[in-house]
Amino acid sequence: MSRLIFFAQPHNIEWAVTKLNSTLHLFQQQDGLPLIERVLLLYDNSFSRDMIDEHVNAIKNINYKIDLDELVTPTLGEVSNWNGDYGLRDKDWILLPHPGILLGKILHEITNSFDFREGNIGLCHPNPDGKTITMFALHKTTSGPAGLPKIRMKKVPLETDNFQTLKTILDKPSNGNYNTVLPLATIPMVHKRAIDILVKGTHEESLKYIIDNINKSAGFGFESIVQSILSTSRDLTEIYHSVSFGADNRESQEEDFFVLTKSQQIIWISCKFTKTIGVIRNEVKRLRLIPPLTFPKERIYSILATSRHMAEKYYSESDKDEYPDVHVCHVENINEKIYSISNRDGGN
Amino acid sequence: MQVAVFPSGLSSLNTLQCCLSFISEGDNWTCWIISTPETRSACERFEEYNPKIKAIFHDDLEEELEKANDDIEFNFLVGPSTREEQLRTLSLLFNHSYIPKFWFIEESPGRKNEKRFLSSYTDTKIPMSILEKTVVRSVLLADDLSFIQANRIIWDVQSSRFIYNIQFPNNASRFGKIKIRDFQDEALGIFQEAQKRFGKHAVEGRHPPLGRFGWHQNAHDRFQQAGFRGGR
Repeated sequence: MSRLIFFAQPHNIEWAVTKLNSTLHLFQQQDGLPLIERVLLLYDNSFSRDMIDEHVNAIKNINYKIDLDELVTPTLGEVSNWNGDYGLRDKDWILLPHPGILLGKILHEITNSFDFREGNIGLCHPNPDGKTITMFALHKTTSGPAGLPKIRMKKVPLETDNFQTLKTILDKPSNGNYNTVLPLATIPMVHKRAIDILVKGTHEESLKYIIDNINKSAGFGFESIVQSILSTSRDLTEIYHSVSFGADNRESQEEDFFVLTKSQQIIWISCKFTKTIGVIRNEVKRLRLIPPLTFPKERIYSILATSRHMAEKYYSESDKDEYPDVHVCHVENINEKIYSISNRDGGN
Repeated sequence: MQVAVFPSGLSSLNTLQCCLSFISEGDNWTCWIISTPETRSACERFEEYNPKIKAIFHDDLEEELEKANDDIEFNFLVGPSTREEQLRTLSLLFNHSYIPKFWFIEESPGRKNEKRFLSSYTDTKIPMSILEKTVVRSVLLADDLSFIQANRIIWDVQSSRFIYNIQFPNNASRFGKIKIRDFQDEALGIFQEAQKRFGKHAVEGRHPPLGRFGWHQNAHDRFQQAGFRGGR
């Protein structure tokens, strides 16, 4: 009978539960992996029952038949009572916890444990790319006159389903202050006409059309056009508009859009309807910063959305390599850029 | 012979400090730091700085293990580098029939040197060596030195971190909302660039109480959210 061992995490619980979910799901789906029939949940006294229940619910949602053991330890680093019935044994799988001190403890237990002298143990490491889990299979034998252990270790990378949502990532730093944008089948006619003018017309023509037909504030009007374009993208799974950050709802920072691609990248999108190139340059410089999100920075991209004329002007007059991680797009090619981000493997 | 082996993290000076701490245990200690394309240049500079440090590119570790003497006892430090790189190094040790002794970095929240140790899971402790400013200067690249000088970033010997104290102009109290935001963007840019160069945990950002300039609570929130320390 295989058992999964999971160390509850005091911080960033959403991410911890997401990892737990995707790992359990992988065991259910992947040929060659054993059936997990039991989970051992380890946590220390600082965890509230609510925090533990979040973990328990995640386990039961995947498979309500899984047997669950809970082991409370003095501190997460000091798992001195992790032995006997709860101790390591053959066919255990361990979802590796984040803190290095715990990883070291696990490795120390594997090599020195009296409970586990021979057999196989698997280590599961969900990778920061959000798409793969690397499994490390360890085989231990204890032989020779001194009874010294021998360990062999093999690496197996596996694809996993995406469980992480942008909502859970945004909820904490934004206090939930954002508008959810739903997908659209087509762009509304009034926005289609505006896009046409933004691509072919002058700034003044676009300004007039937006003010007369969409919003008295051209900036907000332009944002709503970009929103329509984004909501028709088939490469996005979540779109949030007017995302505010700040403690206690004080909203110290507000950003136009954060979106999540199908390939689990976050794109930070800022809209600038302007005819001043300096405004575009300053905003590009700002968009090179890492936004206040708990998420691997390698998977965060930035786009500045503007009119076609300004996007082309920026690329013809600026050093493209100065801020290579920021993409300046216009209303006609923004979804194309999102497609290329979503379908690339790795960095910019 | 005792060999401390671990992959180097992006906080390269933390890696150097760990190496020097292990080496200070005695003449029979050496340190193998395993490098990746991102950390190779720093590791090679550390090797030049102290001959008891050996920089090994991760693809070459297997070859090194094959020619290693039987009397080596390996000590594996868990903490620096990515999980993937740590497990890759460990796999090679295991698969060459070495079972290392495991160590971790023990530190108090204040992170002062006297409260930082390399600790094993069998209760052995090695005090962290102190990295003097002269050592830091001798192992940094010229470009990194120029960057810290230009932005008045200092090396704090006590906490073994770079400290970036934001420099406020004399007229900061007359800044309007937009200028405050631009100023914050600039400061965040320097802070994040320093973290990129020296490692996220190797740089601490600080600001004086913002009430001194009459800045709104939001400005304080934004600095806090970006990881700065400082009063309202």
